[in-house]
Amino acid sequence: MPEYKVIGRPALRVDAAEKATGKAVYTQDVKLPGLLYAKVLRSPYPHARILRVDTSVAERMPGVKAVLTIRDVPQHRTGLMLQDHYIFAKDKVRHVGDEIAAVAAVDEETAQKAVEAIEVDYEELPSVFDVEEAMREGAPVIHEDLPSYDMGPGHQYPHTMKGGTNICGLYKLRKGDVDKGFQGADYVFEDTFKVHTFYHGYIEPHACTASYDPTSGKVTVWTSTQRPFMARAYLSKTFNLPMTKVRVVGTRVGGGFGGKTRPRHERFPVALSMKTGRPVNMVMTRDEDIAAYCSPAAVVKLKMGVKADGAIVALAMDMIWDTGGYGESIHYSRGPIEALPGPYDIPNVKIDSYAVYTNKMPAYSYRGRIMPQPTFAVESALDIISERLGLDPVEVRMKNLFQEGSINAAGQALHSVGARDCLQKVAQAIGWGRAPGPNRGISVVSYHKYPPTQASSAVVRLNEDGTVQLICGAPEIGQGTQTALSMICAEELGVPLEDVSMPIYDTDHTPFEAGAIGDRITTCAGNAIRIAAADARAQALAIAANMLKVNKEDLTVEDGRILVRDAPEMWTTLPRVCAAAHTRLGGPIVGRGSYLGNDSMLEMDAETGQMGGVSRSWKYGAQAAEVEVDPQTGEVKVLKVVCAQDVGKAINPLIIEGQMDGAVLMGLGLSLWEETAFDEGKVANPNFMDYRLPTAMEGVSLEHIIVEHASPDGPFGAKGAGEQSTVPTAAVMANAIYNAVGVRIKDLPLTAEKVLSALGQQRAQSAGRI
Amino acid sequence: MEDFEYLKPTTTAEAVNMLAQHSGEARAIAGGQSLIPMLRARLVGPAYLIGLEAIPDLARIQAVDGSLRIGAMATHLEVATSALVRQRASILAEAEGLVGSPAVRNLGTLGGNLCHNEVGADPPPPLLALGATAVIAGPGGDRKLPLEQFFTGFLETALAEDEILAYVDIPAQPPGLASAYVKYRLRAVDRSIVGVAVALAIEGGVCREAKVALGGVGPVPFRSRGAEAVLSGNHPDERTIEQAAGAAMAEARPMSDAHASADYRRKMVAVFTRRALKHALGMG
Amino acid sequence: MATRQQVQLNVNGEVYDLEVPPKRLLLDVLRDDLGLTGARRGCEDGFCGACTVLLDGKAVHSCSVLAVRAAGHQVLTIEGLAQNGKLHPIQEAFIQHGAIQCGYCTPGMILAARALLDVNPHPMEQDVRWGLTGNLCRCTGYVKIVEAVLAAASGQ
Repeated sequence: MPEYKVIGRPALRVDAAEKATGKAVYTQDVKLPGLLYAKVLRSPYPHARILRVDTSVAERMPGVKAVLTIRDVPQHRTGLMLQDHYIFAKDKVRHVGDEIAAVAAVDEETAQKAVEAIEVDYEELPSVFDVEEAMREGAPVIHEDLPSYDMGPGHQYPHTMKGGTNICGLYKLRKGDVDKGFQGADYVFEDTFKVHTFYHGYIEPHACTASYDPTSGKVTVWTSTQRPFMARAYLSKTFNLPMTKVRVVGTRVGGGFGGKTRPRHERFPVALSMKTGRPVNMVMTRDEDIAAYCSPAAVVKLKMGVKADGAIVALAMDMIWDTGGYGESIHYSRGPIEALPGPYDIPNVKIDSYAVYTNKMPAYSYRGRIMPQPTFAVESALDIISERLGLDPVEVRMKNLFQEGSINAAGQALHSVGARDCLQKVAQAIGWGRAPGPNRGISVVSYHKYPPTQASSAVVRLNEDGTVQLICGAPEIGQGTQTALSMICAEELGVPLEDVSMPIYDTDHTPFEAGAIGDRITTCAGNAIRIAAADARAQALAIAANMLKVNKEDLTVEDGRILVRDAPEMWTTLPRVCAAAHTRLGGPIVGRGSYLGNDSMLEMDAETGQMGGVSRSWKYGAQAAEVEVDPQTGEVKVLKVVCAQDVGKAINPLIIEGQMDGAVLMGLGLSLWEETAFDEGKVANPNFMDYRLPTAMEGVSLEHIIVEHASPDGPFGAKGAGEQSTVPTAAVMANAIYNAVGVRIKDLPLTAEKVLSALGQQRAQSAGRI
Repeated sequence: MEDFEYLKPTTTAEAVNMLAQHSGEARAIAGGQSLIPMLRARLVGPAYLIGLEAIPDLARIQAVDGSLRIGAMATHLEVATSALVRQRASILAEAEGLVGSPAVRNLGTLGGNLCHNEVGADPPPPLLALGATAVIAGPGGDRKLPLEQFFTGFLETALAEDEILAYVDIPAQPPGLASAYVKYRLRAVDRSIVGVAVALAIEGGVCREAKVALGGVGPVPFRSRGAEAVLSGNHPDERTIEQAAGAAMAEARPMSDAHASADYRRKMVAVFTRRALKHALGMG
Repeated sequence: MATRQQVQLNVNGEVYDLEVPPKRLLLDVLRDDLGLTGARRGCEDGFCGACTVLLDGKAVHSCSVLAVRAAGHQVLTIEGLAQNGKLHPIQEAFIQHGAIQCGYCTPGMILAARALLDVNPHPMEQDVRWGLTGNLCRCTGYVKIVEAVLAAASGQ
C-alpha cells in the first residue's frame, strides 16, 4: 500500500472560509454597470399552435429596453443533447412554460409587467401527459419533424429516434437468450414499477448574467452551471458565434444535482444583451424554477426468472422515460447500457429503453444518473422474489453480485468489484437477521454506478516561489471538487495542499473540462490533473538534476524537497528549482494533462448494446435502513440508515461522508415526501411550502462505510463518490416498509397516504380471506 | 409588488381611522409572514399598508378580569413562551410553538395568523377548544365575537374592511381541565393535515364539559359538536373516545391539496381526535 | 405614487440613512443598497432561509421583512459576525466539521444557529434540528451542520 501524504485525509475544504463568511460570489452577486433585468413569457398551454404574438404594447412601456421573440433571433434549432428547440417557441408550444418571448428592462418588475403585456393568440392542440399513452399509436405527435433532428454537442453517440411517434430515443441490450432463460427458471416474476417526477431543490435558483460587447462581438456569461464548457458549446452553436466569442466565467454555484447540467435559460440574457448592447441579468424565481426543472419520470416493466436457489437466469426490462416537451434527457434512454440489470451476473438479458416526449416540462438529469429508477424496480423485485422462494434476500444478492472478472451484460470484463464487500458490511452494521420489533422493518439493497467518461484537461503551473496554480475547468458546485482536485495535484507533485491554488474556471483561460455530471470529476479531471502534475514534476526534476549534476532518475520529491536517493546530503527544493526555471534553467514549468478514458459507447452495436464498456471505474454500493411505520397514519419514520460506497480510493473521507449524507437525504426526500405534481401539464406545487424538501427535522444521522477497491483507471484508484448514495434509497425504503408492515408499493413516492391506503387494502384482503 | 404607502399608527383608534379613511385601498399588516409573500405574488395590492407594530397595547399578553387577553400583535414566539399563556392556556402555547419555522414565529403574530385563516393553521383549534373570543376594534368601538364565528369561509373572516382584530380573550378554565393539542403534518414545518385540540372538564372521572376543535379539515377551523356530545356527561373510556373520534370524522369537510387528499384527511381526523383525547386524559 | 421613505437602519453596528420605497424588502436593501450579499435570494417566499439575518438577535427571513419595518432595529448579517477578523466559533465549527458544501445556505444557517445558541446554549440534537427548520440545505443532509452546531455549543 503506497503511503500518501495528502490524499486519504479529511482535509478541510479550501472554499469553506469564504462561504462561512458570506464572501463567496455567486452569479446573482455579479453586478455590472448598466445592468438590465430579464423576464420570460411562458406558455400557459401544454400544446398549442401560436397564431399571433403582439409585443407592441410591451415595447412601448417605459423602462423596457428590448422585447424579443423568434422573429428577432437566429431561427435554427438548437439543443445540448438533441437539437429540437428554437431560442423561442416557433409556430407552437410543447409544454406549459415553453418560452415565447423575453424582455429586458431597467428592473425586474418592469420586465415582468412588460411580459404580461405581450399578447399571444393560441390554438390549443390535443396534449398527452402520460408517457405510456404518448408511446401508443395515435397519440398526439409533439415533434412532427422527428427523426430529422441533429444530435447536440453533449450527446455524440449512435442514437435511434422514431419518426411519426414521440419516441426520441431507443437503446437496446441483448445478452444470451431470455426466452430460454425464462423457460429454464423455477420462478418468473413480472410486474411494473413507476418512478415519479421530482425536483433538484438546489437552494440557489438558476441565474445568469450576459454581457455582449458590440465592438468585439464577444459575449461574456456568468451562469450557475455544472458544465461551463457545455454552456459555451451550446451558446456558440445557438448564436452562430465562434468559441472565441463566447466566454463563460465561473462563480460559486449554489448546488446543482443534475438540474444545472443543460444550458437553457442562458440563451435569453445572451439574446437580450446582444440586442441591447448592455449586460442583462436573469434570475429564476423559485416558482419558475420548480416549474422548469425536474427529473425524468419512468415506467419500468420488469420480468425476472430465477432458479429455486435464487440464481437469476433471465431478466427482461422495458424502461420508458418521460423527457417532457424537449429531449434534454434523451441520454436516459441509454439505461440498458449504463444501468444494466443492476450489479448482477445474469446470463440472459433483454432490455429496451425509450425516451418519450410528453407535453410536460422538459426533464433534466438528476443525481444518480439513470440509476435510481431501474434500481427501484430491480431491488424491489429481488426482495419480492426472495420472499416467494423462502430465501434470504441478502443471500440472494450475494449469490448474484458481480465479482472480480465478471462480464457484464454489455460485454465488459469487470475489475476492482467492491459489491460483496459493501453488502456484507452494510448487512452487518444494520444487524441483518434480527427481528426489529412491531411495525419496524429492515432492508438491505445493492447497486452499482459508473462515472461517465468524458474529456478533461488541466494545466499545472509552478510559480517562481514553488507554489502551484492548478488550472482546470471543473466547476465546484458544492461537491468538493476544488479541494479534492487540489489534493490530487499536491499528492502527485509532492507539495503540501496549501501550496496549491485552483482558481474558479473561466472558459477563456482554463482548458476544456466536460463538467460536473455523474460523479465524473474525480476520475476524469483527477486523471488529467494527475498527468499534468506528473508532467510538471518531471520537468522540475530535470532542472533539479541539472542543478545537482545527477541523473533525474535518481531524484525524489518529499515535502517540497528534492532529494538524491542514496545521497541524502545532496538536495534542493522545489522553490529553488522553480526560481531557477524562471531565470536561468529551462524556462517556467507548465505541466499539461489530458484525459479521455476508454469510452467505447461510440462503438456500441445498436441492436445488442454490446461494447467494450462505458468506464473502467464501475463502483458499487449497498445501503440499509430501519424504519418504523405508523399503521394508523401510514407515516414512515426512518430510524437508521447505513450507507456503504466503494469509492475506489477515498481522496478526502470527510467530503465523501458529506456526499453520502446529502445523497441519502435526497433519496429519502424523493422516496417519502417530494413530488412535482402536475395538473394538465402545469406544475401544481411550485413552491417550497408544497414541494416538500426535507428540513433538518426530517434528516437522519447515518453510518458511513467507505469501501476501497481501487480502480485500475482512477487517480490513485479513485472512482468518484458524489451521486452514488441517492441511487438505492427508494428501493431501501420500499423494501423496509414491506418488511415492517407487509405492504408492497410499486409506484413512488411512498407517501404516508399511499402506505395507509395499501394497509387498508391489505386489511380488506385478509378480512376477505377469513 | 405594487407600490404602497406605509403608515404606522401608534394607537388602535388611529389604525382604525386610517383603514376607514382609505377604505378599500388599505390593509393592515402584522408580522407580514403571510402578507408579504402575497404582496410579492401580487395576489393583493393595497395602496396603503398600515403597520400595527407601533401600537404597544396590541402586543401585550395580560390577565384581565379573570381571563387571559392576548394582543393580536403578540408574536407566535411570545405566545409560545409566555409564562402566563403556558399556565392558563398551555395547549395554545404548544400550538404556537409549532407554527412554521423559527423565523416565522419570530415575526409572525397570533392576530395575523387568525386573520389570514389559512387551512391547517395551528392556533385556531386550541383557541376554539378554550372558548376564546375575538375582540375587534372598529370605527364604532370594540365588538366581541366568539372566535368560532370569526372564521367565516375559506381564507375569510368576519372582519370588515375598517376593522382590526385587537385581542383574543381566553376565559378562565375550569379546574381539572384535561387538554391537549396534537398536530399531524408531513414535515415539521408544514401546516397541519389535521390539528386537534381538546379541552375536557373532568369531575369525578366524568367529563362534565367537552370542547373538541379541529383545524385543517374544512374551509374553516371548527368545533365538533358531535364529538363533544359523545363525551359530555360520560366517562371517557376507550369506547367513548372511539365514538367521539368517529363523530369528529363525520363532521369534517376536508379539501384535497398538495399535502393530502380529502379522504386521507378525513381518516386522520379520527386517528388524531383519538390521540388528542388519550393524550389529554393521560391514556398514553 | 412610489413615494420614498426615510429609513435609518442599524446593520452590523453601523448606521445607514436610506431613502427607500416602502415596498422595498430588507433583503434587497442589504444586497443591492449595502452590498451585503451574504444574505442570499433563494425562494423569496419566506421558506428556504437563505436570506436569514438576525433582527434584534432573532432569526428572520429578510425576504419577508419590509425595510421600513426593520428601521430602528439592530440587523446582524453574516458579514458582521466575525469580530476583528476572527471567525465566530459557529463559523469555525462549520468549517472544521465539513458542514459547508455549496455554501448557499451557509450564512443563513450560521445565523440561525447563532440565534438558537443565544437562547439555548446547551441544546440537544433535536433542539438543533428544530431550531434550523427555517433553513433548507440540499447538500449536507444537515448531518454535519447539526454536528457543527452541537460542537460549537460545547466549545469544541
